[in-house]
Amino acid sequence: MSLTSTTHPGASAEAIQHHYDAGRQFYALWLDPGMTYSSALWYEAEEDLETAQRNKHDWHLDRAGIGGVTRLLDVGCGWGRLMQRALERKPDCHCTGLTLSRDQADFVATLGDPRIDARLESWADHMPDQPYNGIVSIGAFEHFARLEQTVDDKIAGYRRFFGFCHRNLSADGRMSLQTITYENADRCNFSQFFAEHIFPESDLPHLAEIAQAVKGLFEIVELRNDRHHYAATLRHWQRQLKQRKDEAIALIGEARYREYEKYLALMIVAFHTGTMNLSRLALRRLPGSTPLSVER
Amino acid sequence: MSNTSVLEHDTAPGEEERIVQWLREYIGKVLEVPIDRIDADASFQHLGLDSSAAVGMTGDLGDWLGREIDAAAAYDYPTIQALARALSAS
Repeated sequence: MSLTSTTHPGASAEAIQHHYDAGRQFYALWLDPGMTYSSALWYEAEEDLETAQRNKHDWHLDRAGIGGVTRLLDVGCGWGRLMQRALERKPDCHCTGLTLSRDQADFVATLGDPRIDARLESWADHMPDQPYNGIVSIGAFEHFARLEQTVDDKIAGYRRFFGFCHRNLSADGRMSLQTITYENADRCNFSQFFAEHIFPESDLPHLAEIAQAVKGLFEIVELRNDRHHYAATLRHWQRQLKQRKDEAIALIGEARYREYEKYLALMIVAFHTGTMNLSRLALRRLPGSTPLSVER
Repeated sequence: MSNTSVLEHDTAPGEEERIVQWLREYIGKVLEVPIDRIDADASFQHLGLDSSAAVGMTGDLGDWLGREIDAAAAYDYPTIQALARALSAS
């Protein structure tokens, strides 16, 4: 198990822990009971946040082919809710979750489910002894590049990730990805506040960069751009955090509470106005390239 | 004056003006400029508010009015007058 990777191109474990190790007790105040810290998916506007988070997990599990999956990898597993949902739907499945947050890894370990293996490890260091037949990654891809990289290096880093997925997926394996993307903005518009206080050492992808990075490895089967779903999710979180303000301040102090308040509000604006989008992609592993004709 | 604005004004007499006044004082303080130089019909962006200041303003205005205001309200209604009118009508 390693915290620092020589090949992982994105944010360091220290940077990830800066954000996610504010503590489970703090996040429990304002996330849904399943502690899912990424955009939900609404089919009906009146659905509550917990239902919309389950919709999101089911959407990704369906795209990863959960019915036939026996070994599932969750890259950026958070506090483990997706893996728990996978096991509700497919009890004989084995789930491996990767996270760089010690708090998240510790929490998933306390679930005590022998079918779940939570590892404090980057995908770049993960070497499974058998292939997976389903991979899901939600809200981790945002941390796979850094602002100071050139665009070519950034895409090469993404491609290393998809190469890792390709190598470790069975021939008929499927993958589902969810990430925030730049929409009507570019990396030069990335807020200094986000870069310094919220997501240090991280950069977002453009959809076109993802399409470039999967070339020859995966085909994009389905794509949803759901920025309004993220704005709705953030509004739920913001309302809840405000209601639990005193408890939140007792846990993390007033200054950090203000940072989170501002971060949620800025994210709502970004998704509402289309500066950022929330992309969900279903990907199918491609076989090795086969020439259409052979020169004689 | 259109029929719509007459209706809105009738719904909350005086509130639109109170919100306009609050916003002008708030922005004057944030930007350190005299209130009489703040044009209620200029966009927040033109006045010099960045996105952090805009969401801070919306949050503080919500606290002052004692109700929830959407974080993106200053983007849907991008001037003092437009925001005040929308809030007093809702």
